[in-house]
Amino acid sequence: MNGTVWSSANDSLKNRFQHRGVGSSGSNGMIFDGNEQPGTYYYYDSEKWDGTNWTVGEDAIWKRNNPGKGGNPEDGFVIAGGYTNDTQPPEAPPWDSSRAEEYA
Amino acid sequence: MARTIPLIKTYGAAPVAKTFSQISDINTARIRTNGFGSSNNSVLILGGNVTPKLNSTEEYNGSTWSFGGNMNQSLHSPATCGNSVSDGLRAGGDTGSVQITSEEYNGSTWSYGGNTSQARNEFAGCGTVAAGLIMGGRNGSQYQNTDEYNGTSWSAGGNLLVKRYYNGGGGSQSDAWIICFGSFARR
Repeated sequence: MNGTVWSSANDSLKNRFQHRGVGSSGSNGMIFDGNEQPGTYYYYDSEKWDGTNWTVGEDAIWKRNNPGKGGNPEDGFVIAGGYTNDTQPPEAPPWDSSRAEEYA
Repeated sequence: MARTIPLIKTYGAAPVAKTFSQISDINTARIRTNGFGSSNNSVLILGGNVTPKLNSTEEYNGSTWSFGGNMNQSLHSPATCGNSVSDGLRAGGDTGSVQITSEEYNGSTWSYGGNTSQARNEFAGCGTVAAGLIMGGRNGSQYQNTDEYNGTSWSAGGNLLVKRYYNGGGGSQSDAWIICFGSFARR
């Protein structure tokens, strides 16, 4: 790893699109939310990256895609807004895009 | 007479597993938003695609959300860099047209930074204002390239293995990762 070249690494556990990631280094991070592809149901689960492998993380509260986020796995982070929908097909209201949650 | 001193073995506190829990709602509903911050007690989220598009931001201090400074542009789907609510940036995004601009936040005011190499939205960023990285995205066509920020201007970084948008990423400018559709790449 030289800071200029990208190389392939292990795939995540599931296909994700319109998700978010947090992490302050290449050896520690989390991804969460999103969906498999446009028009599919949203996810609320997370995956953890340890620099080598992805493992199942904790479940978030709400299914979302394209949320706001900030922080990192070590110090905690927040997810807020985005399309949130528990039961309806994605891209269909009602959304409650004011919901926020923390990982701590 | 010799005394026997008992040995006492001490252990550090067991790490507490983190979980997700609900916090107070943000003041303004936002979709296709993004943000930056240092922890669950210090986060800023910005913009969003509602009608009209948003230039407002909100900061979370661990208990409440309050409005931060307004961005110069109202937009959605930017990338963000920054590990502090008082030192972050957004790059690109969609105001109705996809943007080449970036803005830096100092904790109260947004000011324009350098322009990225090309207009892009729906992409990921990581790192800091002084050493930021944005990756992929699209503006009609999808992008494979990355841009690096030094606090003043953007320059070309290494290309991703494939074109990616609507991706997630993290890390630092020199030690980053990106993922989209389950296909992962590390720098």
